[in-house]
Amino acid sequence: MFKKVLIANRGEIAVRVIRTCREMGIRTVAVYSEVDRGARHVELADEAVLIGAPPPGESYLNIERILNAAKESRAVAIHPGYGFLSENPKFSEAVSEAGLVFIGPPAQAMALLGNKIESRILAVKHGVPVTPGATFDVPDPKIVTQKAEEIGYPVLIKAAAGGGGKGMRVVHNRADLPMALEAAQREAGSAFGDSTVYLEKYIPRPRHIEFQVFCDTHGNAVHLGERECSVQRRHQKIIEESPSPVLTPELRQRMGDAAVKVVKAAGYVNAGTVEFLFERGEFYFLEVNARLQVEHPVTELVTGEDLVEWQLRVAFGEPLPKTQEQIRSRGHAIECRIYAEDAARGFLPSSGTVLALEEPHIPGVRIDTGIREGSEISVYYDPILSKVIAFGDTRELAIRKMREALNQYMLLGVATAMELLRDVLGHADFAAGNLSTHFLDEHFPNWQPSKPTETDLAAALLAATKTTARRAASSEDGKRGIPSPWVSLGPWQIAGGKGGA
Amino acid sequence: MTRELMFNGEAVPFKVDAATEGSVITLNGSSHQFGIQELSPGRWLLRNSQGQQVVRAARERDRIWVWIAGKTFEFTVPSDDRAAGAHSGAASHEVRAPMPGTLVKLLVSKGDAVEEGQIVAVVEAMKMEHPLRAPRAGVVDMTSGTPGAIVDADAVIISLVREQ
Repeated sequence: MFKKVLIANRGEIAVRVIRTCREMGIRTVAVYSEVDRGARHVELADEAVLIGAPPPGESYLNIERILNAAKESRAVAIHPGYGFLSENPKFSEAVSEAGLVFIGPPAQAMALLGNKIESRILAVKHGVPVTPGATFDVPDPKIVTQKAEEIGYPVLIKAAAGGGGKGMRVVHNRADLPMALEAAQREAGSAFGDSTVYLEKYIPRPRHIEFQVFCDTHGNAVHLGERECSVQRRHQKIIEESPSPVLTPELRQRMGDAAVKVVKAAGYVNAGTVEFLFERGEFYFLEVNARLQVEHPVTELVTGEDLVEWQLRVAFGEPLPKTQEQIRSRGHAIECRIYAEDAARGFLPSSGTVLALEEPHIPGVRIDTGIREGSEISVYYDPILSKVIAFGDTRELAIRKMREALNQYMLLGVATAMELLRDVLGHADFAAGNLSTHFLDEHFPNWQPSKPTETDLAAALLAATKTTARRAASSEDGKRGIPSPWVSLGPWQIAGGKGGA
Repeated sequence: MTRELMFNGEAVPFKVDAATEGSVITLNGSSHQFGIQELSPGRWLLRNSQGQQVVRAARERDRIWVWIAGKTFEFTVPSDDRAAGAHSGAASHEVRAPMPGTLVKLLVSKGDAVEEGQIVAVVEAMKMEHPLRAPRAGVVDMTSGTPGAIVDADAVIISLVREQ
């Protein structure tokens, strides 16, 4: 196995990768920007290298500096996590050219699947259903209008290089099409440097169901079941679960087979996710995410597999740890993402210091976190703080455990959407599994927290009057200097023993 | 002694009195008595006739956060320059940054006429862009900051004067 792996990421996913590496006896190298000196991923790694200033372009998105850090620390492989450089074919290529192993798919497969038109064509070629649509050599408004008419309104204009809803427009009638086309092209051009767009039939109330797939370098490919991620805000998932409350074994098999077919055809290696839209028993291929997903723990809890371990083994050249027949799923798992954001103010990001933190302790609940008390939540990066993942024999039990976990989760200093998440989990339609990607907009538009009881407010006011400002020193500690090399030795744990001095 | 904290943009006046065991909070004309025991800094056990709750609290500058049984309260200590009104008191002729971030676009300059709701600047924080809109029609009187600069929460980015 690899002797030393560099993790080109930060936050909870860097921490997550470090944990599996430790378990497998692999040494880890963290990289960090100036603002992350005291970050949790830095203190947990065996070594840490400062790679630059806080703006991502000067640190976590800077290929040259990350490769230098790898050389300096003699890491032999790089795990990209999610986000940042994880789906950048140039990075995958540069890592290989530097003589290191990229823990992810080869650049070619990544580039192919990163283009939505190409991957759509690939899906069609292999008999995987896609939404009715059309691509154009030259997007002449007349031809586009004609195609839109054939498909039937409403249609969706999408960017080939798209992501995050950028360069995307819903068009409800012919009159709106020319302007929407122009706007989508302009937005795609400025966001991705590629203004190519295509048309798709707009599916009004789809569910988002995705399949976890894995391929090795020996030609094996499997899926590890689905995750339903329909509860979203601004095209970003906030609650994910497995299994989907709506899939029958027969549909699961058909969709799983389709997912495997697509990635196999693309020459894919390592972990990937094939996303589908699902409506009224029909599924449509959407895209492939060429990375480990934020929501991978949901799959880990129902299958009992460690997907980061799979990634490391596959990248090292080993065959997949299990065959399709050996992969089993049991029970139900749900994940809630905890972002630093103010749900009562349109999910506005909330930065600041984590002043107090106490995570829930419940059997069957896992917390993947990148923070601790004193962590600075900066404005520079994705605001994900942690993930709560609950497991139960049934969906009902998993929901109950999740609600209790969110009740126990105490985090002061930045706003989170925990109260909204609890309200969602308690909603009758959520309990019934009646979901669509518009669930939040439909059921919780302009959500506000419930008014506290007079007694609770009085108690809170009493505590508030007894609270004095915390001394600046505690947050300074976190910022101070260089990560300790002693972390790797863990002498206290060994010498002191449990509950020692 | 009557005190005041801001909660959800509104001033909440209340009174704290010592009782034989703990404190009495008077709020909206009714009294709430609690026994209070400090467990460790920022952590108390509060008791009333219903039972007991662990309460956590932390303060940073003028903001106080309190957590009780899964509910988080964010209070603001009213200050002289931010008397009644707090956030909502932001003058309607100003465009302020809703959160700290990077000013990525400044779409108007001094002397430009703007319409109500027009996007006049874009602030980015945590990978997300937030368009800032003019609160009303007017003429740009002042702009502050250049694209690429870091802005603080509540920083005035643009101020307007009425159309001449």
